[in-house]
Amino acid sequence: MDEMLMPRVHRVLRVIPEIRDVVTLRVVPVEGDPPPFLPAQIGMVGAFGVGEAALSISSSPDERRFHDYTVRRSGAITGALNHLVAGDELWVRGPFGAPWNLDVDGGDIVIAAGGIGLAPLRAAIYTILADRDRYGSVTLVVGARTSDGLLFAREYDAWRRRGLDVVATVDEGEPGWAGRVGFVPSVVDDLAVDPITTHALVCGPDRMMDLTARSLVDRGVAPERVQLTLERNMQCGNGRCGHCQLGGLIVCRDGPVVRYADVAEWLMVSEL
Amino acid sequence: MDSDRTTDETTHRTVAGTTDGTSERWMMSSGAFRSLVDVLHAEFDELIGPVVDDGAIRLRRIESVDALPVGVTDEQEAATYRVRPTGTSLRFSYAVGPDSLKSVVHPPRSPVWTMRRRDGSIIVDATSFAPKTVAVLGARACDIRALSVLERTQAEGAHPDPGFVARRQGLFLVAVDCTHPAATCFCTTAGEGTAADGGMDLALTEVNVPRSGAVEYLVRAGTDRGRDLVERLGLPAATPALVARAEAAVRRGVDTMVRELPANAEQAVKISDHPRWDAVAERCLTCGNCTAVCPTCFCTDMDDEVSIDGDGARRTRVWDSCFSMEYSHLGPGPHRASPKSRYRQWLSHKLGTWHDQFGESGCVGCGRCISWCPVGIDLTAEVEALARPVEAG
Repeated sequence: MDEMLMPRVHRVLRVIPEIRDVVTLRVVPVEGDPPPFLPAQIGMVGAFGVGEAALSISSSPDERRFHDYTVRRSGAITGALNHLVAGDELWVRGPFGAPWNLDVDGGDIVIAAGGIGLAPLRAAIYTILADRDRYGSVTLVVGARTSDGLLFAREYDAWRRRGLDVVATVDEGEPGWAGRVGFVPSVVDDLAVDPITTHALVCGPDRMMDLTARSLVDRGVAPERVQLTLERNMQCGNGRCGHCQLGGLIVCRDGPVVRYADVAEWLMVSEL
Repeated sequence: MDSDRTTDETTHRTVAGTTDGTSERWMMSSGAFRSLVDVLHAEFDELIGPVVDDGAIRLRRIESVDALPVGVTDEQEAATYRVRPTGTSLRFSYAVGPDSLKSVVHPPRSPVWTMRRRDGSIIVDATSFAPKTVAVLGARACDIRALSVLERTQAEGAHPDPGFVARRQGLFLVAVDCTHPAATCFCTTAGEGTAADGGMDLALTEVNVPRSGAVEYLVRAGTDRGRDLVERLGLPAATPALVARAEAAVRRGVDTMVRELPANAEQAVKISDHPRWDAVAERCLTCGNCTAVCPTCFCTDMDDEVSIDGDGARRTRVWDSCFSMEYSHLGPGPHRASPKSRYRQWLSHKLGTWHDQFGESGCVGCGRCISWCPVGIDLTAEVEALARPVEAG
């Protein structure tokens, strides 16, 4: 049997409530250790009798005891995953896919996340902060419709203390909100960026990623230095089933992380 | 091997024919052909060959030469497929039916795993498979080409599909050159021509014996296994006259081919905002027939069945189609909801982005998608329209 198609049974250690309809499942294999992974790599996470969803691991790659998967309830499978409790079993295939390229020594990094898009970036944030001196300025722009939709908000202050400039923004102003108001791309528009040293990691809806990438590219950042992570219907995880194509890309094989330069011509073509 | 053959300029393929009398070409009488079929039947777990069934020429398990159709041809046009008698004694005077080698190496359903849940624990069992040896008689050059296209999609890279690899290794291919292409065929412009050259174990060209109702075959070998079989059958070397008749038969077939794939197909199908996509969407039913009969369409879905008590689950890999709504499903719904986007995905992948992904075209010119489209959408005509400047579209 194709080893890429074989599930490995895991157990839920903890369910961490995040924002509305979002939980983090902390899981561990029933036998053996969690496999090593790189930030943005994906596991196919399965609920018994329901099916699998492609989720990126949101814990730190240095955390060898467990993996975290942050799941938003949106359909039958993610709904079933949201119902799991500590002690329940589920299965995981993977991890697979192309990770964020963080070998950008000395570079400034702009991280832009829309909503649940922060989940695939958290592993990268942990990795960057663990080796903070390797990089220049590191800025996270994280946006949500409302302030209670800001994912992992309880960690922002700790991240700030460790050298991450966190800019949280909400789509519309609300009572008691002292932070930025506006969409992520427009907040990125206002960042001072050095086109020579800046790299970007972007995750969110296609349109948000496109606008964010353009904001940077228009100011001279090379499109090869802007990395996006794509979401398409991944099924096999091995580039064999065809579902996750975007133009010439097979997202599970060539992504999920791709360079804007390699996807710009396809990203905003409707229904491509 | 190639040095002792000559290349026919029309077909771009090496056909029989050489100035060198020692070349590897043999004559097989109708009686020897019967022996060939018997040997294949005896020595392989399965022998698959063309059979008239369901009103079409299908690839089915056969036991002997008597199962093969005699004196029939297939009339094909857009949305049309008919089996007709010809009154000849030829066994291979037709093109391709709905089946291809895809069904053999990449079956419509293949089991993946089963799971049980007991006291809250999940137990997974991988489905084991015992690879069979399969001989296929009458494989066409387009389908052998398609096999190598499929192989790139399923068996290259770090984790080849072991089922595909095992089934391909267990395959023994007896090709038969196309001497009667259908009106829907366009392999000479999309693929590599009507005569197999590589990828097969043996290749036959069927011809009439002059001044007789009988048929005979010119035989070429593509592998040592094929050569061994020729030796065991004790086939005599082909005469120059037989070689000439076989060449002429292949050439006559090529000359009847009417459809062509435009040379700039790869660029044309990547024009994502061409108005022709709207025009074809007016006709396309998104039924997926084209993807089912296409010899290279490889997409699969994971189909999970749960037992009635809820404690058993079985996963099967099944053929899928980019024409289905579920194919592009994401959280909020299908990513390609419109028929236009689904047709565009199919054609632009097949002829365009397949090059980006696998370094070649995904079309071999077999014409099946044209014949089996219920509304007669003609791939070659669509590409021609897409290749025209947008103003004229």
